[in-house]
Amino acid sequence: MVDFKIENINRNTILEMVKEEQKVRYSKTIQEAYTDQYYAQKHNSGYNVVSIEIDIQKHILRQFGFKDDNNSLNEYWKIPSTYWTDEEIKNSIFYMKLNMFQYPKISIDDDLIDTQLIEYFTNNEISLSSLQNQDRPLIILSGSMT
Amino acid sequence: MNAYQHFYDCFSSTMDIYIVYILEAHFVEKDSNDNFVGGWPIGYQYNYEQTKTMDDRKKMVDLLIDEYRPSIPILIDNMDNTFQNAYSPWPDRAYVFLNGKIKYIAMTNDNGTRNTFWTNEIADLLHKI
Repeated sequence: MVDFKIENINRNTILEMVKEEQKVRYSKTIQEAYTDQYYAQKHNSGYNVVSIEIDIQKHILRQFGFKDDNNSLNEYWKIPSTYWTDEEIKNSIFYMKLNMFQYPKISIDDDLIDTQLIEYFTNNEISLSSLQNQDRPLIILSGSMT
Repeated sequence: MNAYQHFYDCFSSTMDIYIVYILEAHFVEKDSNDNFVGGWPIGYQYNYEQTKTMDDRKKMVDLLIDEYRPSIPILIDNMDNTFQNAYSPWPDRAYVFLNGKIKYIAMTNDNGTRNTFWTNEIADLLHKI
């Protein structure tokens, strides 16, 4: 087993690795593992959660002959930023293909960017800026059902 | 969601706190044989396509309320995803605004993990400002 160093790995190997990662992530075995963990957690608040994603990526590293230590994992996580403009690689793994995850283009002390939102209970439109009251922090917790 | 609700219970008297529902994180796409072919599946307990209409989004918020019973007021991003486009919250993120300025943007590590609950970071920040 050798270290995984992104600059030393040829592009075709990267492509095969991410294709395999996607195949494993979508597999019945892994989806059942996620499901089992979801219900175990739900029924036992002390359940020790396992990071299935990291286990999958360690498995991929080993399968391709690389060490699965933290150094190799950290390098493996550089694939998206290194190959962001490579359409074939980008389309081979969902977390690159979806392309919805982006680092925010905003910064601390920027002005609030106003957007229109819908109030769930009333269906009324409301602007983000109208939620901000003088000298009172406005906290937005954003996410989805899943 | 439990951390969000706990935060709301502790701080809602001194600040304004909202959930903004955005695009689904773990939506799925399947072929005719029920195999996953797209999306970000994390088990068979979630089996939802990406929302395509405001009704879809409201139905997902219904599910969220059924499952977690939050008392935090809920807003929904519009179908042009203007909140998503401005603030890049997907799959989830938190923000603090004060007097029209952005004072906190929750960040994740390169692999998507976070070092602590964002609500802990916000609580620390609010003690300082």
